[in-house]
Amino acid sequence: MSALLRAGDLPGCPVVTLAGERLAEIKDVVFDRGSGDLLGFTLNDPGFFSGTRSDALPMENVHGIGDAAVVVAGPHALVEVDRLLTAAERRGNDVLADRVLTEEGADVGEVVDVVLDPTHRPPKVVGYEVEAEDGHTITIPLKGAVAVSGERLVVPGRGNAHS
Amino acid sequence: MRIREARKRPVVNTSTAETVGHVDGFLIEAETARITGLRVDTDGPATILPWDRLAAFGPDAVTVADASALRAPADPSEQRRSDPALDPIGKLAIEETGNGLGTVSDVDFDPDSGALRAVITEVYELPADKLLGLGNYAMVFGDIRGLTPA
Repeated sequence: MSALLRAGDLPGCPVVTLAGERLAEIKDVVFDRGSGDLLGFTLNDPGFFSGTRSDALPMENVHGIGDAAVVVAGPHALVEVDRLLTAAERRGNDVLADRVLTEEGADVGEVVDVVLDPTHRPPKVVGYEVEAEDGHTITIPLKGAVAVSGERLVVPGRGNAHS
Repeated sequence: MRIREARKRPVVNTSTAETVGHVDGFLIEAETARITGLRVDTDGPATILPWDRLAAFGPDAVTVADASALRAPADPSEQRRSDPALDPIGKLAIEETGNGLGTVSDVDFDPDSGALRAVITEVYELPADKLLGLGNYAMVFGDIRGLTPA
C-alpha cells in the first residue's frame, strides 16, 4: 500500500496511538510556506460535538499516515498548539491558494492541495495539485519545483495554461 | 476457538456442579497477544477469572475447581483490560502505517493456553503476533506487508 495521499483529505481523520486509543481528530493541516513542507496538524476533540484542542501534532511525531488514521506512538506526541503555529506563522502559514508560475512567466493556476508520500517517515510533500483557470487539475511533482516562496511556486519550463 | 462462540458460555464449579456465572468478555494483553482472564457475569462483585485459575475452556462450559477462582480486578492494568469498551469485536483494525485493515468480526484463540492466533476482519485474517495494541478505538498491527486478503 504505497498510494499517495492528499493533505486535503486529512481533516476529520482520527489520531490513534499504537495502543489503539483515539486521542483527537485532524482539524487543519499546517504548512511551512517557505519550503512548502508540512509542519503538522491542529486538532479537534473526537466525536460529533468536537471542539478545538489546545494541543497539536508536529509532523516529526507522526508514526504513520494511512487511509484510516494518523498513528502516533502515544499521547506524548502532542505538543502545545502555540509551538506549532508560532513556527508556521514565523514563515507564513499556508501554501494553499499560492499562484504557480513557470520560469518563463506563465501563470499555471492555483495550488489547491498538497500531495504526500505516507511511506516516508515523517511523511513528506511530494507534489502540489494545481487548478488551472479552465478548471482542470494537474499535479506538479515537488522535485519539479524551482522555488517556493510565501507568494508563489515557480516550476520549470514555459508550460502555458492558456495554450 | 473463536471468542464470539465462546461468549455466554456457562462457568461451572466442578466441586459443587453449580453454575457460578457466564462468560461476559475476554481480558486481552495485546503486547503478548494472549487472553489473561475472563470477565464473568456473576451475581456478586467477583467478576474476574484469571486464565491460570481455569480448569478447562471446554466446548460447552468453562470449568473451575472451586468458586474462589473468581475475584475482583487485582490491579489497575487488569481493571483496564476488563473494561467492556476494550471488546475487540467491532473495533477498527489498522496497520501502524495508518492504513485500514477492516473491522474486527472475531478473534481466534488457543483454548488450552489462551494465546491469540488470529484476528479476523471482513478483509483479512491477521496474525496475532503482529498485534501491537488494543484500545478503545482500534486494534493496531505491525507491518503486515505481503498478507493477502482472505
